[in-house]
Order: sequence, then structure tokens, then C-alpha cells
Amino acid sequence: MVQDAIAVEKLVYTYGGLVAVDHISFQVAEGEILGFLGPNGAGKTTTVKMLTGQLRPKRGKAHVLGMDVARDAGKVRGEIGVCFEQTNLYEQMSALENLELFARLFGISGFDGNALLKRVGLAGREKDRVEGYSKGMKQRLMVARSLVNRPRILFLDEPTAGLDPASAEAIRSVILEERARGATVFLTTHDMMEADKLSNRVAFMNNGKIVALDTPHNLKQQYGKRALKAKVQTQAGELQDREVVLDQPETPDLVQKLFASEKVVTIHSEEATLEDIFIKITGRGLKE
Amino acid sequence: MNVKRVAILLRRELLQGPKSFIFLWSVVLPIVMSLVLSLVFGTLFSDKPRLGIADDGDSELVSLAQGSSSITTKEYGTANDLEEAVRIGAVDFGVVLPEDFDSLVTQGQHVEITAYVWGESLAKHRVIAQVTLLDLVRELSGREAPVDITMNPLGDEASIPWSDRLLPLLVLMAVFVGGMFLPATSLVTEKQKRTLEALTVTPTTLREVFLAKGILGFIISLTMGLIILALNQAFGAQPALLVLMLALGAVMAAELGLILGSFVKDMSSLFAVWKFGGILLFGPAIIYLFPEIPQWIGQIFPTYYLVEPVVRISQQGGGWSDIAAHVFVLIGLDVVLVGVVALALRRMRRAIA
Amino acid sequence: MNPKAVRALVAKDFTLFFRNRFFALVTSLALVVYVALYFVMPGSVDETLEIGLYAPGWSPIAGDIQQQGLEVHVAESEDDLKDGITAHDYVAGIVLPADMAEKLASGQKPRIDLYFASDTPEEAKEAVSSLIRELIYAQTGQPLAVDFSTEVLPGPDMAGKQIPPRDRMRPLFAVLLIVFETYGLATLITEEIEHRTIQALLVTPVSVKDLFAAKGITGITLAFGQGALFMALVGGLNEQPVIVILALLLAALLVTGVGFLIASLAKDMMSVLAWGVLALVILVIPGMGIMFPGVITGWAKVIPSYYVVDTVDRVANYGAGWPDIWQNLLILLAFDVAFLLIGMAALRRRFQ
Repeated sequence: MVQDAIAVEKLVYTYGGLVAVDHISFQVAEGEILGFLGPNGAGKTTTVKMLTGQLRPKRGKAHVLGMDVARDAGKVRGEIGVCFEQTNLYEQMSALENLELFARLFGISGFDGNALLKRVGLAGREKDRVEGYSKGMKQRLMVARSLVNRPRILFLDEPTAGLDPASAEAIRSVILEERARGATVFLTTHDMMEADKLSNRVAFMNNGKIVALDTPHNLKQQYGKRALKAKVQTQAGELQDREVVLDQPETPDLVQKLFASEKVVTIHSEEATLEDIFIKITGRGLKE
Repeated sequence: MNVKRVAILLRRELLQGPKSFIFLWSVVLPIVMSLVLSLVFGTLFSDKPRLGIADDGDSELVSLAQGSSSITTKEYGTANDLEEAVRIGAVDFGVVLPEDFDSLVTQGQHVEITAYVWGESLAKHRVIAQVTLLDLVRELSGREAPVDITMNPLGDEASIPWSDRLLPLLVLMAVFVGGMFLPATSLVTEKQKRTLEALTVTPTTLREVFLAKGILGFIISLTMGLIILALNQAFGAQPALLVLMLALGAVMAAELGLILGSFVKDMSSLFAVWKFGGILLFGPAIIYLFPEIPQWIGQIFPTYYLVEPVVRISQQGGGWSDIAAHVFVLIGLDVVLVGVVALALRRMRRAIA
Repeated sequence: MNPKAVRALVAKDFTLFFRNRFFALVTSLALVVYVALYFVMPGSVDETLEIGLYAPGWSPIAGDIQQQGLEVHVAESEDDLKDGITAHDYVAGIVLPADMAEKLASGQKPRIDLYFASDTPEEAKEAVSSLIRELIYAQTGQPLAVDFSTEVLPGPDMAGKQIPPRDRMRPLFAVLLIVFETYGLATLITEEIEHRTIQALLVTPVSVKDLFAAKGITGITLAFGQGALFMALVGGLNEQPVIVILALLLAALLVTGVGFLIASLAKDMMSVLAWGVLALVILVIPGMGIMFPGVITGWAKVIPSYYVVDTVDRVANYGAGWPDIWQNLLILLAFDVAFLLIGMAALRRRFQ
């Protein structure tokens, strides 16, 4: 039987009287990318901290690669890579020095930092001090650092937040390469398009609970509505939006009526976004 | 340069300042050190031999010794206490007076006194202590000295008591701790938190920022200098001149603070400078404390040109003619530092851009 | 504990230390300045009161006055005597009139002129006056019927072989150099917490123990290195170098524990400064006791640095050996263990 990379059962964490993570349970298969979505304060980061051994669960169990995170935190850390939301690099050191330090900490011999930096698009800047890097470059280096030990599980917290499209795309490519290598990726993000594009499954977290967990397609099927979105030109020359919900009995008649009565300029089908679905489920936006 | 904006920035510094540790430190430290050094340690630097007396009777010798200006006398309750005091070096020379000492002396009878000598006491202190003690015993016995001694001072210089020797150190501490470290830490913090960038994308210029921080340093520096002089009653006969010197010193302190804050990248570097720079700043005051160190060495330090005039005015009754050269040197140093501040400003502007 | 990880972390800390060239330069310069201060301070003790004497017809009296602690310079004339005083060759000058013997014999009071420089301390003037009076009493056959039975405490008698001020200051300077490193270590740790690099380290196989070991080694090396180098440069290792080195090492351990404690309490670099000043002032107090004997008595023994200063002072300046100071070292070790344990426990809570 293929073991789950991550298995969480009724996990709880409280900060004093505040329940940050409220009896959550889920599994992540090996080689899967799980998108973990939710607004600020939902409990995502606390969950990640428990899975990476930074916090000890108050109740419940969490196993990473079959190891109990509470009991075997040291062993777990040898198999994972973590990319934090906020940069925490040694800015007085060069990129290469940062990576080589972590390689030594993981006990890796013969580590090729140059190859890893090339992979994340930092070739040619290996020996420059990090303090001189742009935000995008620092984030790439953060990702590179999380890959030093060729982790079996990668925890990425907002890896592309605030980045230019080129840097964001470079990082997404790396994530997909890692999945192709067989790594499991636990991706925490606000970017629903990114989660949609990359994730095998997404989990919505709100107020410490997981409120939905499925593939993006299934979620859209279950909660979303497909619609035809058209732009029509009025007699006054203005462009206005029209919408016809698909998959309803009256849909063909409505479409025929639209074309008959209005001057349709453009028309295309659209499915619900994950944000729409999240709002529908929780009543609040992802970016609140 | 917009004076109103400078005032706004200065107001912010003054309002935020008391919340910061450095602000409190720069105000409290000089006052506390002044009290501690003057009240407690002033006497300890004295070169007088220290005599301890354990008196089993109620001898007048004790009060005579305490009234003598050539020794410092401490009385101890028991011979054991006295012995312990000598053993640890609290006194140089200790004597145990027998119960009937006064009557024995006045009757001219032989008296054996137990004396303890601290092994590390200087030979001259032992001589002075013994000789003074014998002299006092003679006085106790009621005998008149067989000679008249006429004191003839030569030269114009006055002796400087140890409590006065501490004044330069206190003044430098007062002027430089706050005046220098407030602008420096303020600048370093703003650089680290990037609030400088936020300021300079408004109509505010970096020059205005520097000026506001410099004025803060100047105000604190001058105020603390005046407080320390007042605490030590050291204004002398020319307070206006003293205020001028303190003002010039406060300018130097503020300038050094701005330069430090511009060049230093982070707090740990600032601490390193504090570790080392304290010696450069306080060098002249330390040399002044120990006359056996060649005093000319003090002239190497820039702060000498603040400290020396202060001493001459407050302790030696000096006037303008005694300090004019030092004033011009200090003004010169302040002007040179203005140039360095301007360079620092330019450098910082490039770094932020 | 993972020795390889610890080695990597120590290498990283030293790289960062020297990477900040300004910081490294200033730290090195501080050591240079302390050494320079040592050599600027007097290397000998002047324990002689020097007096000039012009006593025409009374020359043998100079021999009567001379004793340990008192040196008499016989002047050829009164003008020579005054010149000697204004040149600060001696503290005071005594002029005994040529007719003094006759006046004393006839029961008159001869007048003795005592010259001194105007900046001579009051105590010196009075002391010389007392000396003159006693001298004349002795000359006129009126000795005082008071004998002193003298005991030197604690022994040996150091008259003539006093410890120069700069050698007295050695333990204080060494301790100052070491104690200042509480700042260094505390800032190393606080910076990592502020910049969140601690988090990055703790999601690798590095354990909190590894972190402590690495920071401890860095702190001890910096502190001990400076203290030992200073003592080596100023001759402080000439006597019983093993004991001195051991004392400095234990001092470095102590400040490492204190550094951990400060880092656990400090929110940011400003609070490191605040706590650091407090620690510095407390730890330096025993050193002041060396400069001012008798001021700081039993209560100083609760301050851990007392045992460093006392050991180094007694060994370097008084030739003490193992039997004299083993207890100091044992107590110091106990303090070290206590501070390290408390510091690590407090810091562990901060990391977690």
C-alpha cells in the first residue's frame, strides 16, 4: 500500500484561548501538489508549522512520510524543504554561501550550488551578496534553499507573492519539476489562479477548519456555475455584459433570444473561479 | 531647506524619543555617574594616607586625627575590625589605642601601641601616617612645638582635589552620550526599517532629516552638559563662556552622531564603535584623572579642546584669553566635521536612491 | 548533537563577523587601544616623598631624616632649593637656619622656612610640617615615649616592590574585554531572531542543542581570544599561564551564559544594549575593587566575575598558585554552569 506523504487526523492548535486549528483531518498522497487556500488568520501557517515540526500539536496526530511530527521532528526535517513567506536569508553572505551552508547542515557532500542557482534563474549572481538582490531574486533563492536536500516534501508558503510575472513563472516551473521528480508539494497561497493551475487538489481553510477538499475541477462542478458571458452593443453604442447560465433547461431558448434581440459583439463560456467557490462556501473572500 | 518641515521632524523625534531606551540612557546615565563618581569615588582617588584607629578608651587622638588634613582617618569599633580593614587594604596603617592612652601620654609614661601596616601601602604613606600620628600625640600631650614653621608657596598653579579631577569625565559623558548616540541610533534605525526612504519620497529632503536629528542631539547634549555643571556647582565666574564651550561641544557631538549613523550599517556595528570610540572620546578626561600620565597626550584627542577650557573656566577661574586658542580649534574641528557630515549626506542620498 | 552541523554554524558566524569589516576592525582596534592604554600607564610606583633640604651647618641631619619612603635632596643654596621645587624635583623644601642650634639651646623657637609648589596638595604640606616638628624633637633629645609594635598585613611587605598601576589594571582590562562580548554574542543571537534566520535553521536537521553549541563556541572564542591575547601582550601570562588561561576561559563561559540570557530577554538590538549595560556594570564592579582596595568587601563575592578578577590578580601580580586559587576556579565553574543552564533554558523558550 502506498503510504500518504502527509496524514493528519483531528489536529488541533490553540494560542491561549484562540483555536487556530480546529480538528482538521486530511491526507496528501506522495507526488501530489496540495493547494492550501484561505484568508489571513484561517490557520494555514499554523498547520504548516505543525507539519514542519516548528509547533507541537496540542491534540490530534500528524504523520509526515510515516513519521510522527511530534515524536520524530528531527527525522522529519531531514526529508522536507521549507520556503517561508518572509525572506530569512543571510544577507551578508552570497547566494552560493547561503546554499552551501544549508547543504552542510543537511550533511550533503558534493553539493553543486551553482547548478541549483542556475535552475532558479540566478546563474551569474552566485557570488553576489544577498543584500544586493531584488525581491524576486531573494524569493528564487528562498525556493532554491528549500531544494538543497532534494526533499521528499516541499512546503511552500506564498512562494510567488508580490513577484513579477517572470520570477513567478520561474518558480512555478520549479514546482512542476519537483512534482515530476516525485516530490510532494504543500502549497500555501492566496493566488487562486496559481492554485488552480498547479494543484492536484485544493483545500479551503477557514476559521481553523477545512471547509472543502477536492480537485479544482470537482469543486467547480460542485459549487460553481458555468455560464456564457457576452458583450452586446446597445443602440446608443455602449457595450454591456450579458450572462446566460449553462446546463439549464431554458439555456437554449435564452441563447437564441440573446442573439435574436441584441447585437452580440463577443461571447465566451466561463467557469467559476476558486475564489467564487470559496465565497460561496464561506461567505468571505480569499484575500480578506 | 524648509524650516517648518525640520520643526515637524524635530517634534516627532522629541515626542518619540522618551519612548526609546537610548533617550533615557543618555539622560539618566550622566546624572547617575555624576552622583556616583563624585559622592562615592571622589574620595577614593585621594592620595592621602589612610589611618585606622581602634580606640579601647575614649581618646582625644581620634578627633585630632580626624581633623588632620594630611591623613584620612577611620575609626573602628574593635581591634579585630581594624585588623580586617588593614588586611583588605581599606586603611594603610592602623593603630589600637589602649584604654588609658590619653592619661599615659599626658603623664609622659611609656606607651606601647599595636600597629598594623597594609603590606601594599606605599612607603611614603607609612612615613606620613606615622609622623602625623606622632605629631598628634605630641599635641595631645600638651607640648608646644619647639619651632615655628613658615609656609612659602612658589608658583601660581593651585592644587586640584580629586573630586575636581572627575569633572572633565562627567562633562564629556553628559555631552557625548546623548548628543552622539541619539542621532546615530535614530539614523541607523530609520535605515534598517526603511522609513528614511519613505520620508525622502515626500517633499522632505535628507538634509532636513539630518538637521532635525542633529538639533535633537544638540539640545540633549547642551542640556545635559548644563545639568552636570549645575550638579557639580562648577559654573565658575564666567558662565557665559562655559555655555559657549558646551554649545560648541554639543555641535561636535551631534555632528559625530550624524556621521556615525550614516556610515554604520547596523546596531552591532554601532555597539562596536561604542566599545572602541568611548576611549577616543573620554581619553583626555582619563588622562586628566591620572597626573602621572604625560598630560600632553590629551591634546591628541579632539575632545581635549572642549574639556580643557571647561576646566580652566570652572576650576581655575580662567577667562577668554585663557581659552581663546582652544575655542578657535574647537570651532575649526566643528567646521571640518560639517564637511564630513555633508559627505555622509551625499553618500546616504546615493545609497537610498 | 551533530558536530558537522555545529561546525558549519560556527563557520557561518565567523564568516559573518569578519564579513562586516568595519565591525571586525573596530573590535580589533579596541584590543589595540587597551594594550596601548596599558603601556601608557605608569610602569612603576613612586612611593617616595622627595624633600629638598638646605641646612647650612646641619648636613648630617639629612641622614637622620632619610628612611624608606622619604628621600632627601641636599641643595647647595636656598635659590637652588626653590628652583628644585618649581621644577617639581621635590614636593617641598626645608630651610634650616644656620643659627638653629643656638636658638634651640637657648630655649628660643627658630623659624624654619618650608617651601612648596603652589599646586602641592594640602596633605603633603601638613605631612612635611609634622616631619619637621618630629625631627626637631628628636634633635633636641625629646623623643616621644611611644613605641609601635608593627605587624604587616596580610604579608608580604610590598614596600619597595609595589605593583605598578598598569599591572593592577590588567585583570580589570582583561575582564572588560571579555565582558564586552556579552554584547557580541547577544547581538549575534538577537539578529538571527530579528531576521528570522533562526526559523530557517530550525526546519533543517539542526537542533536547538546544535544552535546553542555553535553560538556558545563562537561566543567563547571571541571573548576568550581577546582576553587571552591581551594578557599575552601585556605580560599577564608570565606567571602561571595555565591558571590565567583557565580563569579567562571560565570567564568566557560565564559571559556566554550571560549573553544567552540577554538574548532571551531582549526584544531587539536596543534592548540588547539596555540589558548589556546592566550586565556590564555589575560584572565590572569586582574589577573596581582592585583599583580601590577595601571599598568592595564581602558582598562582591556574589558577583561571578569576582572570582576571575581575584584569580588573575593574585596569580599575575602576587605569584599565587593552584593551592591558593583552586576554590575560586571551582566557584567560577559553578556560576558558569548555572548561567549557561539558565541562559539556554530561557533562550530555548524564545526559539520555541
